[in-house]
Formats: sequence, C-alpha cells, structure tokens
Amino acid sequence: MNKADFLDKVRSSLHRKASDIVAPAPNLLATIKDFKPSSLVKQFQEEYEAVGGNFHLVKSKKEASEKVLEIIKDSKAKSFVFSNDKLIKSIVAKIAIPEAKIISDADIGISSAYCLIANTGTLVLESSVGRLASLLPASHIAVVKDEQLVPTMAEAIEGLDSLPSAWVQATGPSRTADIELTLTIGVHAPGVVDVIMIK
Amino acid sequence: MEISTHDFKNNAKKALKDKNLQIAMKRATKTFVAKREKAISSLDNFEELRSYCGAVKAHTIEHLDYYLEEFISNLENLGVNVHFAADGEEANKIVTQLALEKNVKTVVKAKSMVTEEILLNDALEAVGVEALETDLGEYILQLDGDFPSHIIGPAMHKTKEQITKLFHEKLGSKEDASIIELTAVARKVLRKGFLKADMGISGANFAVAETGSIVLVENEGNIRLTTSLPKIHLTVMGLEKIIPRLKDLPAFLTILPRSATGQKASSYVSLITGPKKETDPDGPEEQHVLIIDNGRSNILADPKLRDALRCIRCGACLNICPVYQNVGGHAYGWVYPGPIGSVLDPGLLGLDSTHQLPQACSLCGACGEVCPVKIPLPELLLEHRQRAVKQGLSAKAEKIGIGAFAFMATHPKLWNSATKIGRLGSQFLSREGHIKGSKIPVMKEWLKERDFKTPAQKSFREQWRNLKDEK
Repeated sequence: MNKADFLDKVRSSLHRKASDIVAPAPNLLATIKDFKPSSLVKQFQEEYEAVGGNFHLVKSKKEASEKVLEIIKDSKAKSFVFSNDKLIKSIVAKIAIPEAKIISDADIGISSAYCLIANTGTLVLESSVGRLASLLPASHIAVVKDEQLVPTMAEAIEGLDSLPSAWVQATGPSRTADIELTLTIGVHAPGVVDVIMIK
Repeated sequence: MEISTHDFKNNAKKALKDKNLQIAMKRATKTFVAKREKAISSLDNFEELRSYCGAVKAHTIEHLDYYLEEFISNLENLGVNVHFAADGEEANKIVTQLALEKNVKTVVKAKSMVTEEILLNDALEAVGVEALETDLGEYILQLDGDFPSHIIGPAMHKTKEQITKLFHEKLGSKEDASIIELTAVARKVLRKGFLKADMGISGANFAVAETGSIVLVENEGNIRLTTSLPKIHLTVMGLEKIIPRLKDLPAFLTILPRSATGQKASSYVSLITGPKKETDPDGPEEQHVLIIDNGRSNILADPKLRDALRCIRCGACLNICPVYQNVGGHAYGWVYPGPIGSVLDPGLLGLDSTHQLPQACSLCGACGEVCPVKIPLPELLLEHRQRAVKQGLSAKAEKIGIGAFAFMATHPKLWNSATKIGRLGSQFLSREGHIKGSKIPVMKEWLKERDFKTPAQKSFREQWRNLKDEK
C-alpha cells in the first residue's frame, strides 16, 4: 500500500477529507509529582540502589579513577572497553588490564552519561559516544558528575534541539521476570552496574 | 497461532482442567496485581496522570490522520524507509522481500505483539530466513512451538518445572537447573544470534509524531541489542501507536511500567530517532518502519469502539480480570486476551468469530478501573454484547430464555400464575433454605455453579394484601 492510500483510509475512517484542518494538540501537560528529597544526589542514590545498582560518591576525578581500578580489580575482569567520552579517556589510561579488541569480548564497559534522572535512578546514554560499550559487557561502570543530575525525565528532554539516533534511559541492571515472575538479574545487557559520581 | 476465538467456551473448559496452567496462573496474576497496587500507591497523582494520558491518546486517535502524516514525514526527513501494509499478508510480503533483497540470513526479534498477530516468524522461515525471538519469554515459547498468553509476560502460563524440562531437552542444560541458570543458558545462546544477525526487528511502544522517534520499553536489554547490533533495524508497528509530542512521553513512561510490572521505571527505555549518524561509532546503518493497519481502521471508523485504540498494552486489565486469572490467555484464542482482547479482537477479526469473548465477563468493572488510559472497557464489552444480540449471534438457549421472559413480563396474568407455580415448585427442590442451581431443570450451564435462597412462599404483593386485610 502506498502512503497516500494508507493515509486516505485513516482519514475516511475518521470521516474527514485531506483538506480538513485538525485541532492542535491539547495543552494539558501533567506534572509528575514524586517524592522530593532535599538533594538530587541522595534521591538518585536511593532510587539507583533500590533497583540493584551500586552507587559511589567521590570528590575528584582522581578518586573516580581509583574507584574504577578498585571495581575492576574486585570483579576479576580480564579486559575492558570504553565509550568515546572525554571524561572517560583520561580515567581509562591507568587501567592495568588490556582493552578488548572486540567489544563483545570485554568483561567490563566504561562510559559516562548524557545526564542522570534523579526520581527514577536513571542514566541517560546516547549514541554519539557509542552504544555498545555500555551494552555488551556483563558489567557496566558509568563515571558521571553531580551537575548532570535532573529531577525527572521532563527536565532531561526540556530544551533538546534534536535527539541522538539512540537515546537510552537505563535504570539499574538488565532483568527479567519471564519465568514465573521471579526476578532474575543480568539477561542480555549488564547485570552488574556501578555509578561513580564526582561531586 | 491458529485463531480459535470462536471456541472460547471449550478452550476455557480445557484451561480450567489444566493443572500446570492453574498453578502458573495463580502464581503469576497475584504477583502482578500486588506489584501494580504498590507502585500506583507510591504515586500521589496517578488519577491525574491517567486522565492526562487518556486524553492525549483520545486526542491523537481523533486526529490520527494528522499525526500519522507528521510522524511519517519526520521519519522520511531522518532517512528512514517507511512502508505501509493494509493487512498481515501484505506486511509479511514487505518484510520477507526486504530480507531477501538485503540478503538477510538471520533476524533477531524483540517482543512484538503485532508480529504475533501477522505470524511474521512463519513467513520469514518460509523464505529461509531464521527468525530468533530474543525476549526470554518469547524464546521459551519459540523453543516449545507455543504462543504468548499474556501481553507482557508471554510465557506466564508455564511453570518453572516445565521450562527446566524444555531447556534440558532442547538446549542440554542441567535437569534441575535453577531460574538463574536457565537465564544464563538463554543469554549465551541468544548472544551468538545477536552477533551473527543481519537484521533486527522490533515493535514500538510509542511513536512520537513530532520527532519521528520509536520508543521501546523493556527490562532485559534484548531490544537495545536488536536495535544496535544488526546493520538493519526494522520497526513493525500498528498505526495507533502515535503520541503527538516528546513532552507527552514522561507521563506515559510513568504510568506504563507501574501498570505493567509494578516498576517505577523499566530497566531500559530506548528512543530510536533515525539510523546511525555518520559520526556515531556504532548502530544500524539502515532503518525501516512498517506501519500496519490490519483491521485497526475498522475500529477507528467506529466511533463507539474507537477508544479501544488508546491501549498501551500494559496488561493490567488481564491481571485483574477474574476470568483471565482462571482461564489464562490461550483460552481467548488469539494474540490479545483478557478484557482488552475481548474488546479489540471483535474489532479486528469481526464479531462473527469472536462474540463469545465479550461474554467471558462478570461485569465486575475492575478492568475499567485499572486501565491507565481510561479505556471504558466494561462499556465496550457491553457494546459488543448488544451488537452480538442484534446480529443474532447470541446462544440459542439465551434467545429462547430472554424471549420467554419478555413475553411473561408483558403479560401480568401469566406472570402471576407462573411465579406462583415457581414458588410452590421451588419448595420441593429446597434443602435447608437453599436450592442447588444444578437441580433446576432450565439453563443448566449457567446454574451449575450457582445456588439460590429458596423463594418466599408468598410474593410481596400477596403478603401486602394479607397485611391490609388483617388491619
């Protein structure tokens, strides 16, 4: 079916002709009220931990770098990959294990985030720095800054000129409940997720 | 799956006798309902959000021509190939032709009800393209040659024991594997599929007209992989998935996971806006969107039923429905079960083959109360019932019964003597003030599960007359 016929069918179903002018969208945007704590950092941490993520608050980039090394050491990962973030490049320079040649072989992926949504404990990942480093490995570490926090998704999308080809809101580890609604962590995407926040 | 909506009664009877199904259904629906309630109660403006989302969807449906056109032109500007199909057959032809033209050997699929509706996997297999379901629930069903029984928990009719046995037989996993072990086995097998796939096929939870974005909601990460790894990404979507603006999305993303799985937020929400940009390090080079009608414009053309197209497929009305809880999804005989299925299926397939579905309802109204976009489900179920009667599709016994009732009720003398006989006769069937429904000689099926109080020996009118005489 071609576009014109398809749209004509929809129009005639609505008993309208192509020339009919339609009403504009209703302007009735609801506000999403939610538990509002005194600090976005605290709210993010609570929500992120509630969905099974690990949260680390650090004071400097140097401390963040040390935390990354510590997590990698404890995880016994053999190789890593990282996304094309400025913040990440300087941090990964000190990592002792080798960078994986193929992303899907890596045990740990390191990235930053576009922003963080406090009321749901969500990382916003976007495609311009690459999609796979935060997706293929079984563990994901995100190094972020507290100034990247926004209260809700509404603020995250406010004032966006255009969207990246992929805008992904990641909330905690990959999970499923497809077998008897029993929560199981780590299906296709990272099952272990850490956020290191520089304050 | 073979459509058996016409045979609901027999399907339901079988379902009630299926021990595994009964165990699985009891375990699952209770959990869903409890989780939803908890998630909703933590939100102090759920009613406001419901009204908002319902109004946005209603507005969009009323102006669907406008928003579809806006959405399509934005897709085209992004370099997306847009395809249109009037029905399942045309849709399958478009997808298989595309797959063959692009030399696709393996397709990875994210869960999509519309592709279940059109039997896309069968069509792909028929032209020699491997179609691999990657959602864990869907993968279980594919391994077993089974089909979904729930919109968001497709394999919820299966017990853990059945799945352990299935994986042991088909994938060689341990005989007593735990759920964690089963999940790990599936991850390993499916990861290989992801890495070799030439095409990823997803559905769409929402399509944003203003930006040309496809919004996908999930927990496992298989949709992220499906839309990121293969060179070609195809979205198959029903024409009703549109929302007007990006700023409408946060409200929908607040009510959808809460209504569906009782989560505040699903693990992953992906907004896909066009194919990979030149500067992107990875992502699909080609994006296709296939918009399907397949009966939806019939519902759209029907002002009384149009509200059904608001549905965002959360499954809350299934979980809360006392009929669904007992018979499970398969009894309904098609992809969309439960209250919303009983409303949509007659619209999509016609009432002739589906009129038993709206009857599978006690009119308790719970479905209408939980719907996050305020679809008046109980009213729509009644609308279908009325139409079925008008079209002469109701059961014979019901027709005779109602006809007889109408005749008696409009002839007072007959009514009086008949009810007198009934009252007297009932005293013989009565045991300790009750009559077992199964003892009453008419409408056996309906009365089988119902017991009654023995009627009073004298009618109210008789008693009233006697009272007056005594004075």
